Amino acid sequence: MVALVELDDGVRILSQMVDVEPEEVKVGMRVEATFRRIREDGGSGIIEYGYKFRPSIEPEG
Amino acid sequence: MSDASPEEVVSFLSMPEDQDYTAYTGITNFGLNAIIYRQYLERFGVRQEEVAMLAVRSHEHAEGCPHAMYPFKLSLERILSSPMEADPIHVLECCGVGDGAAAVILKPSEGDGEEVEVAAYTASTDLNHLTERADILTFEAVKRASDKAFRMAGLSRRDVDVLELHDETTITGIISLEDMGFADKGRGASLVTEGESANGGGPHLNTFGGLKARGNPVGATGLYQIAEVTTQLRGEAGRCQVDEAEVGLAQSLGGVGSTCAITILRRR
Repeated sequence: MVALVELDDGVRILSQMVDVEPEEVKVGMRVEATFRRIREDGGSGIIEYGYKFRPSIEPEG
Repeated sequence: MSDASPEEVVSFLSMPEDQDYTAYTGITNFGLNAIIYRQYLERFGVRQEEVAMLAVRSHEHAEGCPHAMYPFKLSLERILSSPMEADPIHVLECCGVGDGAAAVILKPSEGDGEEVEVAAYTASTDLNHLTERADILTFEAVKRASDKAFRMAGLSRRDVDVLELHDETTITGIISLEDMGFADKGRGASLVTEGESANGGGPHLNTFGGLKARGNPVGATGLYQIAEVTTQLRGEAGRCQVDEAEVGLAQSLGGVGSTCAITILRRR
Protein backbone atom coordinates (compact mmCIF):
# COMPACT_ATOMS: atom_id res chain seq x y z
CA MET A 1 0.00 0.00 0.00
CA VAL A 2 1.53 3.29 -1.17
CA ALA A 3 0.34 6.74 -0.10
CA LEU A 4 1.07 10.32 -1.02
CA VAL A 5 2.34 11.80 2.24
CA GLU A 6 2.54 15.54 2.92
CA LEU A 7 5.15 16.43 5.52
CA ASP A 8 4.59 19.25 8.02
CA ASP A 9 6.81 21.57 5.97
CA GLY A 10 4.71 21.00 2.84
CA VAL A 11 7.03 18.58 1.03
CA ARG A 12 5.16 15.66 -0.50
CA ILE A 13 6.61 12.16 -0.94
CA LEU A 14 5.41 8.73 -1.91
CA SER A 15 5.80 6.05 0.71
CA GLN A 16 4.56 2.66 1.69
CA MET A 17 2.11 2.61 4.59
CA VAL A 18 2.56 -0.02 7.29
CA ASP A 19 0.92 -1.14 10.52
CA VAL A 20 -2.50 -0.24 9.18
CA GLU A 21 -5.26 -1.89 7.17
CA PRO A 22 -6.05 -0.26 3.80
CA GLU A 23 -9.63 0.54 4.82
CA GLU A 24 -8.37 2.38 7.91
CA VAL A 25 -6.34 4.86 5.87
CA LYS A 26 -8.11 8.18 5.43
CA VAL A 27 -7.14 11.34 3.55
CA GLY A 28 -5.69 13.81 6.06
CA MET A 29 -4.81 11.30 8.80
CA ARG A 30 -1.65 12.00 10.81
CA VAL A 31 1.23 9.66 10.01
CA GLU A 32 4.85 9.32 11.10
CA ALA A 33 8.00 7.94 9.53
CA THR A 34 9.36 4.61 10.65
CA PHE A 35 12.57 2.77 9.72
CA ARG A 36 11.76 -0.50 7.94
CA ARG A 37 13.06 -3.20 5.68
CA ILE A 38 12.34 -2.25 2.06
CA ARG A 39 13.59 -5.28 0.11
CA GLU A 40 16.16 -8.05 -0.04
CA ASP A 41 18.46 -8.61 -2.97
CA GLY A 42 18.10 -12.39 -2.99
CA GLY A 43 18.95 -14.83 -0.24
CA SER A 44 22.54 -13.69 0.30
CA GLY A 45 22.41 -10.13 -1.02
CA ILE A 46 22.01 -6.73 0.55
CA ILE A 47 19.00 -6.06 2.74
CA GLU A 48 17.80 -2.54 2.02
CA TYR A 49 16.26 -0.40 4.73
CA GLY A 50 14.47 2.92 4.44
CA TYR A 51 11.46 4.92 5.56
CA LYS A 52 7.85 3.86 5.56
CA PHE A 53 4.95 5.63 7.23
CA ARG A 54 2.47 4.43 9.84
CA PRO A 55 -0.43 6.09 11.62
CA SER A 56 0.93 8.56 14.16
CA ILE A 57 1.11 7.03 17.63
CA GLU A 58 2.02 10.29 19.32
CA PRO A 59 -0.86 12.15 20.94
CA GLU A 60 -1.93 15.07 18.81
CA GLY A 61 -1.69 18.67 19.98
CA MET B 1 3.99 -6.48 -25.90
CA SER B 2 2.27 -9.88 -25.87
CA ASP B 3 5.66 -11.58 -25.58
CA ALA B 4 6.04 -10.22 -22.05
CA SER B 5 4.52 -11.45 -18.80
CA PRO B 6 1.97 -9.16 -17.10
CA GLU B 7 4.63 -8.26 -14.51
CA GLU B 8 7.08 -7.25 -17.23
CA VAL B 9 4.42 -5.16 -18.97
CA VAL B 10 3.55 -3.28 -15.78
CA SER B 11 7.25 -2.77 -15.10
CA PHE B 12 7.73 -1.44 -18.63
CA LEU B 13 4.75 0.91 -18.33
CA SER B 14 6.20 2.23 -15.06
CA MET B 15 9.58 3.04 -16.59
CA PRO B 16 8.85 6.73 -17.27
CA GLU B 17 8.56 7.24 -13.52
CA ASP B 18 11.42 8.24 -11.27
CA GLN B 19 13.11 4.99 -10.25
CA ASP B 20 14.87 6.30 -7.13
CA TYR B 21 11.85 7.73 -5.39
CA THR B 22 8.72 6.45 -7.13
CA ALA B 23 9.44 2.92 -8.33
CA TYR B 24 11.42 2.41 -5.11
CA THR B 25 8.18 2.39 -3.13
CA GLY B 26 6.89 -0.48 -5.28
CA ILE B 27 4.17 1.62 -6.89
CA THR B 28 3.27 1.06 -10.56
CA ASN B 29 1.92 3.55 -13.07
CA PHE B 30 -1.55 2.15 -12.38
CA GLY B 31 -0.89 2.72 -8.66
CA LEU B 32 -0.12 6.38 -9.35
CA ASN B 33 -3.31 6.59 -11.36
CA ALA B 34 -5.10 5.12 -8.36
CA ILE B 35 -3.82 7.88 -6.05
CA ILE B 36 -5.10 10.47 -8.51
CA TYR B 37 -8.41 8.61 -8.93
CA ARG B 38 -9.09 8.39 -5.20
CA GLN B 39 -8.41 12.08 -4.66
CA TYR B 40 -10.48 13.01 -7.71
CA LEU B 41 -13.56 11.16 -6.45
CA GLU B 42 -13.19 12.72 -3.02
CA ARG B 43 -12.51 16.31 -4.07
CA PHE B 44 -15.19 16.60 -6.72
CA GLY B 45 -17.77 14.30 -5.15
CA VAL B 46 -17.94 12.31 -8.39
CA ARG B 47 -19.03 8.66 -8.31
CA GLN B 48 -16.79 5.99 -9.75
CA GLU B 49 -19.72 4.80 -11.89
CA GLU B 50 -19.56 8.11 -13.76
CA VAL B 51 -15.81 7.98 -14.43
CA ALA B 52 -15.96 4.33 -15.49
CA MET B 53 -18.59 5.16 -18.12
CA LEU B 54 -15.71 6.22 -20.33
CA ALA B 55 -14.71 2.57 -20.58
CA VAL B 56 -18.29 1.55 -21.39
CA ARG B 57 -18.49 4.12 -24.21
CA SER B 58 -15.10 3.13 -25.60
CA HIS B 59 -16.16 -0.50 -25.79
CA GLU B 60 -19.42 0.48 -27.51
CA HIS B 61 -17.41 2.27 -30.18
CA ALA B 62 -14.97 -0.59 -30.62
CA GLU B 63 -17.75 -3.04 -31.40
CA GLY B 64 -17.23 -4.24 -34.92
CA CYS B 65 -13.99 -2.32 -35.39
CA PRO B 66 -11.69 -4.67 -37.31
CA HIS B 67 -8.45 -3.44 -35.74
CA ALA B 68 -9.71 -3.24 -32.14
CA MET B 69 -8.20 -5.55 -29.56
CA TYR B 70 -11.50 -5.94 -27.69
CA PRO B 71 -14.23 -5.29 -30.28
CA PHE B 72 -17.22 -5.89 -28.00
CA LYS B 73 -19.38 -4.13 -25.45
CA LEU B 74 -18.76 -4.30 -21.72
CA SER B 75 -21.35 -3.33 -19.13
CA LEU B 76 -20.64 -0.95 -16.26
CA GLU B 77 -21.44 -3.77 -13.83
CA ARG B 78 -18.92 -6.06 -15.49
CA ILE B 79 -16.21 -3.37 -15.41
CA LEU B 80 -16.79 -2.40 -11.78
CA SER B 81 -16.94 -6.01 -10.61
CA SER B 82 -13.62 -6.93 -12.25
CA PRO B 83 -10.63 -7.48 -9.93
CA MET B 84 -8.67 -4.52 -8.59
CA GLU B 85 -5.57 -3.51 -10.52
CA ALA B 86 -4.73 -0.81 -7.99
CA ASP B 87 -7.56 0.13 -5.65
CA PRO B 88 -9.86 1.87 -6.74
CA ILE B 89 -8.93 1.08 -10.36
CA HIS B 90 -10.46 -2.12 -11.67
CA VAL B 91 -8.62 -4.19 -14.28
CA LEU B 92 -11.32 -3.41 -16.84
CA GLU B 93 -10.79 0.33 -16.32
CA CYS B 94 -7.21 -0.05 -17.61
CA CYS B 95 -6.09 0.02 -21.22
CA GLY B 96 -5.63 -3.23 -23.10
CA VAL B 97 -1.90 -3.58 -23.65
CA GLY B 98 -1.17 -5.47 -26.86
CA ASP B 99 0.66 -5.57 -30.14
CA GLY B 100 0.15 -3.27 -33.04
CA ALA B 101 1.75 -1.02 -35.61
CA ALA B 102 0.65 2.10 -37.40
CA ALA B 103 2.11 4.32 -40.08
CA VAL B 104 1.33 7.72 -41.53
CA ILE B 105 2.63 9.29 -44.70
CA LEU B 106 3.34 13.02 -44.53
CA LYS B 107 3.82 15.10 -47.64
CA PRO B 108 3.90 18.78 -48.54
CA SER B 109 0.55 20.32 -49.28
CA GLU B 110 0.21 20.60 -53.04
CA GLY B 111 -3.47 21.27 -53.34
CA ASP B 112 -3.83 18.03 -55.28
CA GLY B 113 -7.00 16.83 -53.64
CA GLU B 114 -5.51 15.29 -50.51
CA GLU B 115 -8.28 15.60 -47.96
CA VAL B 116 -6.57 15.82 -44.58
CA GLU B 117 -4.10 18.43 -43.35
CA VAL B 118 -2.17 18.84 -40.11
CA ALA B 119 -3.67 21.95 -38.53
CA ALA B 120 -1.48 21.82 -35.43
CA TYR B 121 1.04 19.66 -33.67
CA THR B 122 2.30 20.57 -30.19
CA ALA B 123 3.98 18.91 -27.23
CA SER B 124 4.54 19.97 -23.64
CA THR B 125 5.99 18.55 -20.45
CA ASP B 126 5.30 18.78 -16.73
CA LEU B 127 7.29 17.83 -13.64
CA ASN B 128 7.81 14.09 -13.87
CA HIS B 129 7.30 13.45 -10.17
CA LEU B 130 3.64 13.49 -9.18
CA THR B 131 4.54 14.77 -5.71
CA GLU B 132 6.20 17.91 -7.12
CA ARG B 133 3.16 19.17 -8.97
CA ALA B 134 1.04 21.94 -7.49
CA ASP B 135 -2.10 19.86 -8.04
CA ILE B 136 -2.02 16.15 -8.88
CA LEU B 137 -5.48 16.41 -10.46
CA THR B 138 -4.31 18.84 -13.16
CA PHE B 139 -2.14 17.76 -16.07
CA GLU B 140 -0.37 21.04 -16.89
CA ALA B 141 1.29 19.46 -19.92
CA VAL B 142 -2.13 18.71 -21.39
CA LYS B 143 -3.32 22.26 -20.73
CA ARG B 144 -0.31 23.88 -22.33
CA ALA B 145 -0.11 21.58 -25.34
CA SER B 146 -3.81 21.90 -26.13
CA ASP B 147 -3.98 25.69 -25.64
CA LYS B 148 -1.06 26.07 -28.01
CA ALA B 149 -2.55 23.63 -30.52
CA PHE B 150 -5.89 25.43 -30.72
CA ARG B 151 -4.09 28.77 -31.16
CA MET B 152 -1.90 27.30 -33.88
CA ALA B 153 -4.87 25.79 -35.70
CA GLY B 154 -7.06 28.84 -35.25
CA LEU B 155 -9.84 26.56 -34.02
CA SER B 156 -11.94 26.33 -30.86
CA ARG B 157 -12.94 23.32 -28.76
CA ARG B 158 -16.40 23.42 -30.31
CA ASP B 159 -14.92 22.75 -33.74
CA VAL B 160 -13.62 19.30 -32.74
CA ASP B 161 -15.82 16.48 -34.04
CA VAL B 162 -13.64 13.48 -33.22
CA LEU B 163 -11.32 13.12 -30.23
CA GLU B 164 -8.96 10.22 -29.60
CA LEU B 165 -8.07 10.28 -25.91
CA HIS B 166 -5.10 8.79 -24.11
CA ASP B 167 -7.28 6.79 -21.72
CA GLU B 168 -4.59 4.64 -20.17
CA THR B 169 -7.07 4.37 -17.33
CA THR B 170 -10.56 5.84 -17.14
CA ILE B 171 -9.37 8.60 -14.81
CA THR B 172 -6.53 9.80 -17.09
CA GLY B 173 -9.05 10.03 -19.92
CA ILE B 174 -11.45 12.10 -17.82
CA ILE B 175 -8.75 14.44 -16.48
CA SER B 176 -7.39 14.86 -20.02
CA LEU B 177 -10.85 15.90 -21.24
CA GLU B 178 -10.97 18.57 -18.55
CA ASP B 179 -7.45 19.88 -19.03
CA MET B 180 -7.89 20.09 -22.80
CA GLY B 181 -10.75 22.44 -22.03
CA PHE B 182 -13.70 20.28 -23.09
CA ALA B 183 -15.17 20.27 -19.57
CA ASP B 184 -14.73 22.14 -16.30
CA LYS B 185 -12.67 20.52 -13.54
CA GLY B 186 -14.71 17.77 -11.93
CA ARG B 187 -17.16 17.69 -14.86
CA GLY B 188 -15.24 15.56 -17.36
CA ALA B 189 -17.27 12.47 -16.59
CA SER B 190 -20.56 14.25 -17.20
CA LEU B 191 -19.42 14.84 -20.79
CA VAL B 192 -19.34 11.06 -21.14
CA THR B 193 -22.41 10.10 -19.11
CA GLU B 194 -24.67 12.70 -20.72
CA GLY B 195 -23.71 11.42 -24.15
CA GLU B 196 -21.34 12.94 -26.60
CA SER B 197 -22.63 15.55 -28.98
CA ALA B 198 -25.91 15.49 -27.08
CA ASN B 199 -27.22 19.04 -26.63
CA GLY B 200 -24.47 20.30 -28.92
CA GLY B 201 -22.01 18.97 -26.35
CA GLY B 202 -18.56 17.54 -26.73
CA PRO B 203 -16.83 15.68 -29.53
CA HIS B 204 -17.16 11.99 -30.33
CA LEU B 205 -14.69 10.21 -28.06
CA ASN B 206 -12.50 7.21 -28.86
CA THR B 207 -14.39 6.38 -32.02
CA PHE B 208 -12.56 3.06 -32.45
CA GLY B 209 -12.39 2.22 -28.76
CA GLY B 210 -9.42 4.23 -27.54
CA LEU B 211 -6.59 2.69 -25.53
CA LYS B 212 -9.24 0.87 -23.52
CA ALA B 213 -10.80 -1.24 -26.27
CA ARG B 214 -8.82 -0.67 -29.45
CA GLY B 215 -5.82 -1.42 -27.29
CA ASN B 216 -2.54 0.19 -26.31
CA PRO B 217 0.47 -0.99 -28.30
CA VAL B 218 2.42 1.63 -26.30
CA GLY B 219 4.96 3.08 -28.75
CA ALA B 220 2.57 2.72 -31.69
CA THR B 221 -0.46 4.14 -29.89
CA GLY B 222 0.12 7.80 -30.75
CA LEU B 223 0.28 7.00 -34.46
CA TYR B 224 -2.74 4.70 -34.18
CA GLN B 225 -4.72 7.69 -32.96
CA ILE B 226 -3.55 9.88 -35.83
CA ALA B 227 -4.30 7.17 -38.37
CA GLU B 228 -7.76 6.73 -36.83
CA VAL B 229 -8.57 10.44 -36.90
CA THR B 230 -7.41 10.58 -40.52
CA THR B 231 -9.65 7.61 -41.35
CA GLN B 232 -12.61 9.41 -39.77
CA LEU B 233 -11.94 12.67 -41.63
CA ARG B 234 -11.70 10.78 -44.91
CA GLY B 235 -15.03 9.11 -44.22
CA GLU B 236 -13.48 5.66 -44.42
CA ALA B 237 -14.26 4.48 -40.89
CA GLY B 238 -16.96 2.01 -41.86
CA ARG B 239 -19.36 1.21 -39.05
CA CYS B 240 -17.29 3.39 -36.68
CA GLN B 241 -17.82 6.44 -38.91
CA VAL B 242 -18.93 9.71 -37.30
CA ASP B 243 -21.20 11.88 -39.45
CA GLU B 244 -19.61 14.90 -41.05
CA ALA B 245 -16.31 14.76 -39.20
CA GLU B 246 -14.36 17.88 -40.19
CA VAL B 247 -11.86 18.30 -37.37
CA GLY B 248 -10.19 15.64 -35.26
CA LEU B 249 -7.80 15.72 -32.35
CA ALA B 250 -5.38 13.07 -31.09
CA GLN B 251 -4.04 13.37 -27.56
CA SER B 252 -1.10 11.29 -26.40
CA LEU B 253 0.34 11.12 -22.90
CA GLY B 254 3.68 9.96 -21.61
CA GLY B 255 4.09 8.94 -17.99
CA VAL B 256 1.28 9.93 -15.63
CA GLY B 257 0.55 13.19 -17.44
CA SER B 258 4.18 14.27 -17.52
CA THR B 259 4.33 14.73 -21.29
CA CYS B 260 1.56 15.42 -23.74
CA ALA B 261 1.43 15.64 -27.53
CA ILE B 262 -1.60 17.06 -29.33
CA THR B 263 -2.28 16.74 -33.04
CA ILE B 264 -5.19 18.49 -34.70
CA LEU B 265 -6.16 17.32 -38.16
CA ARG B 266 -8.62 19.03 -40.46
CA ARG B 267 -10.45 18.00 -43.61
CA ARG B 268 -9.86 20.45 -46.39
